[in-house]
Amino acid sequence: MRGVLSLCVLSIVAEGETYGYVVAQRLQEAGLGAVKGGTLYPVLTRLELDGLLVSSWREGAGGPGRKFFTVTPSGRSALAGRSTEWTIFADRASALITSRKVTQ
Amino acid sequence: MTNDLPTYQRELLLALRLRDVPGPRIAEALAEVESHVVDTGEDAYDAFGNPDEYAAELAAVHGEHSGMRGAGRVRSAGARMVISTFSAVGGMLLVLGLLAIGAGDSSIPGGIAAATSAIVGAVLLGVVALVLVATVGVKGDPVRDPRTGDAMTPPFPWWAVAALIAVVPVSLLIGGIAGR
Repeated sequence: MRGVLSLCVLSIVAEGETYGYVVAQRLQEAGLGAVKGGTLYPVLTRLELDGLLVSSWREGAGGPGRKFFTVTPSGRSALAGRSTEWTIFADRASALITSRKVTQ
Repeated sequence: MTNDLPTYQRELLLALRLRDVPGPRIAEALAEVESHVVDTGEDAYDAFGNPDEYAAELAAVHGEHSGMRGAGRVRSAGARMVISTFSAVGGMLLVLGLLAIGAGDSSIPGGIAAATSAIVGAVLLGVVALVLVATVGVKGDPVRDPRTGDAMTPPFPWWAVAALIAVVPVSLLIGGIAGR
């Protein structure tokens, strides 16, 4: 499931520049459950090291500052490719699950 | 809520150093933890889990990109063994030696000379302190806050230094009282 989480995170950042806490909120709003910081930041770091995201720290209002992530051009093309792969996989999986239900 | 943040950051820093994660990456991780718990109001331990396990996860992410997976683990195990064994044995020898000296005995249980025991104990603790300083504050690979550029390696807390120094007079005193 980690691969899917990474795809979801990439897709959220591709919608617009954002930071970790908002990504976690968006995942929760989407019904994917509460993703802990300890799970989320390694995913963001991996995406950044893969060159799919870039980050920069920006001063927060009174807070310690936030790390904003932006998608790169190769991040966009990776998102397009992986989204297609995921859709095909999910369609096939649900077709299989549904057909088994019918035959039982 | 964020009371445990400095403790968490200190433990994470040491755990990442022991795994040879580069300074700039460590700094990013420490700043991410701080920024996240301030935003969410969560406890750092709840949000990021055990610092050692989180460090292992981050080291794995880093290792995938640097191709040096095994090296960090060996050093980590070695340093860990030195820290735990030397501090346990060193502390015991130092205190036993000082207690015996305070009580006017020439040797500790087991027949080792009291002065030898105290000196060996102090040397072992000194090695532990050196390993800790070397591990946390590796020269040429500083951990600088990505937001401010300030050093993120904390100095040894004053109470830890005070406790180490206090071991000497307190042990001598207890030994002296017990020896009467």
